[in-house]
Amino acid sequence: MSTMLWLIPLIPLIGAIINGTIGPKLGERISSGIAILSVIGAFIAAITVVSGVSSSAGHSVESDAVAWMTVPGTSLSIPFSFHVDPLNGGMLLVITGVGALIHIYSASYMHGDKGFSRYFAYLNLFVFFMAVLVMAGNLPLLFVGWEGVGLASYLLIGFWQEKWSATQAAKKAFIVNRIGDVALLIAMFIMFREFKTLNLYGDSGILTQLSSASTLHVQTGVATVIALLLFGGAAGKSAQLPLFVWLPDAMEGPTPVSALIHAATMVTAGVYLVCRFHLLFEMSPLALQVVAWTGGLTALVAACTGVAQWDIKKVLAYSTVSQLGLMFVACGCGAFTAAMFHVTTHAFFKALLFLGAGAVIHALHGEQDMRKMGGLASKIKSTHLLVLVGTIAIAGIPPLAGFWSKDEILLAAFDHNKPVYGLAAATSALTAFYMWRMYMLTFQGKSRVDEHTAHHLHLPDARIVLPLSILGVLSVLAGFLNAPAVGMHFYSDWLAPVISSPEHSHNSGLVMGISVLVAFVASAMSVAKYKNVSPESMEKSGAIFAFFGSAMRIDDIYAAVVVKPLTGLATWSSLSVERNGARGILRMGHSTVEGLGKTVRRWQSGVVGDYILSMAFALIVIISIVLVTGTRGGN
Amino acid sequence: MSVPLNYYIVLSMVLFALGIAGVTTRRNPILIFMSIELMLNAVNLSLIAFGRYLGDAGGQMLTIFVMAVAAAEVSVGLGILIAIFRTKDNVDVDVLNGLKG
Repeated sequence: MSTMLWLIPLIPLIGAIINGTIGPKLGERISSGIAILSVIGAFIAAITVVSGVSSSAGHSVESDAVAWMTVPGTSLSIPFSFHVDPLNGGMLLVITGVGALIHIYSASYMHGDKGFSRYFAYLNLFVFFMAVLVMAGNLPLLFVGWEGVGLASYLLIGFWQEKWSATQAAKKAFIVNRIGDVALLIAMFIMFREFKTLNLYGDSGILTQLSSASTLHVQTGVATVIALLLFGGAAGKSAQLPLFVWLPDAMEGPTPVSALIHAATMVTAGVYLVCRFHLLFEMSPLALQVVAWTGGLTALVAACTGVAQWDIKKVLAYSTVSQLGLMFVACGCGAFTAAMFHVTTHAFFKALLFLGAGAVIHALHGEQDMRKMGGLASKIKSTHLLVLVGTIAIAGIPPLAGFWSKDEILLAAFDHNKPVYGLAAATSALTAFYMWRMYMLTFQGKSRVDEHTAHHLHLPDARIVLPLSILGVLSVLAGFLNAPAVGMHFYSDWLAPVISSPEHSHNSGLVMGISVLVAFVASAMSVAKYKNVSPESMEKSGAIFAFFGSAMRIDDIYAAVVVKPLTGLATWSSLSVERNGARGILRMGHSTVEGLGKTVRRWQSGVVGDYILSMAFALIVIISIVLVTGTRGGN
Repeated sequence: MSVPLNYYIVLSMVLFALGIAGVTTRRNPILIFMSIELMLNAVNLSLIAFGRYLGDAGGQMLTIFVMAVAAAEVSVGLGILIAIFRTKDNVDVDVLNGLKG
């Protein structure tokens, strides 16, 4: 069993190495085949491992610990070790399963790209790092995965290196993430001081220490600091206020990448981290408040922004930020099961929507502007149907997946934090509104596609439709994994060994009623408003629309507060410090050498006679010296 | 009564100096070659004189080597000279300063 654990990250790593080295020589078929099979292999290994989890003692599977770093004289010993329990087991299945589907989709989507094998090498590398992140048995190994997925994200956002905006977006994602990572690192330092170990599991592991409250001597204040720093790291990775600005820009990458990394898996790593340390968060009411409010505000801000987007991928990007906010609302209200459940269902329907959007973009030869879409329902039927399923799911209309998972979150918020419930409910309404807006603008109404493109639509092939269909089925059915209202609680039972479910709330009927009403009303309003929208009305947009469209100008605030002063400092040091200071010293050195060279070069006249004369004179000088001093040879 | 060694050495020195003077002052490559031959033969003369003085056949042997190498050197040199003339239309060594630094 422990060998299987090693296989989960190793198979994609081997795939990445093969594609990264000899990939370009293999051709598209073999290159994508290796990548797809390696992720499917990891998926099979993950199924084997996870199916062994429930039957094993302590509901977890641990790998052997291979020595990595030890500091003599201290308790710091960091091995390579993996650990799978119900919490990260579920994540693993989503990562490798959805990952495999997106690999299959990519093989068609990226067909003909000159970086085909490079793309698959990066994608496999991502799966490797993501598996390391969730399976890591100690914090430094988790951090390796954490940084690794950041690297893979950077590489894939900037995949089309010749596009200036793509490289800028990649840098932005990397740098903004670093801010969160520093917080995570500091959290690790403090945790080592408090717990004397960085191992998460086992007899002396941090989580074990946290679970035995009687012997725990960590003060609430310290717990709050650690929890807030951990949340800082999570806010960077999971795109929460104020660090969410990188995620919308990350849409510069290929669409399947947006689906896998920037919707389904990597961005949920922050939620996973918070859920992993839920015992710590539960120690600190303040930290929970911060998490809930940050999540709620992010959800609302991003949802408002999503309403005012014309780019189909940007709608989905802000929707992702908003849904991640809802997950943190769940965490902040102590409903960690609901958060993880929403991670899972969101992975399905958001991947479905992104891949569907990718299919639309692919069909329209790269057009992403919804003002140039419309009326596509009859043209690309299969895609239309599946995106419709995804839209219903995310809009929170029962009985699809999004309804059940979102309802759990809203219920928890209603019970624990009424103002945040208000934010979350408003977010749900806006979500339904902008998702139907996206659907109507893309698929219904009159076609605004230009003549040439309309006649040469790229129809999706089987490798695109198959993953979409599987995700579509999952988006419909996954909600029943945890639908307490109809007596299904498989998921909370599954997570019970790690996260105990909160007691059943008596408000569930009321909250569910409000949710359903809100979802239907918002959807109906959106459909009515965008049913027969005229092209002219799209061109003019008011000041409010522009304000929301630019995400409340948060990017501009960053530009003014951070980027501009930094650029100013850099320009100043380039002009004064570098040009006059450092370069002056260098210039002194080189001008000396240059002057010497100028003098000496006159000797080399190119005239043979001169050389011979020099030789003769030198000979005379040498002979005279020998004669005068009387020295001959060496002895 | 044989000629003393000194005479040979002085003659050799004089010939060598004339050779150097010729090589450095002449501008025509042919004349430079002749001057080089003069220097080589001055050395040959001293070699034979020393060989004879010391009763050693090595001096004569070396001289024959020098003559053979000199013949080869002249043929190569003249070949280069013709090649230069063909490309540059000129063999004045003061003008041929393409290696000027």
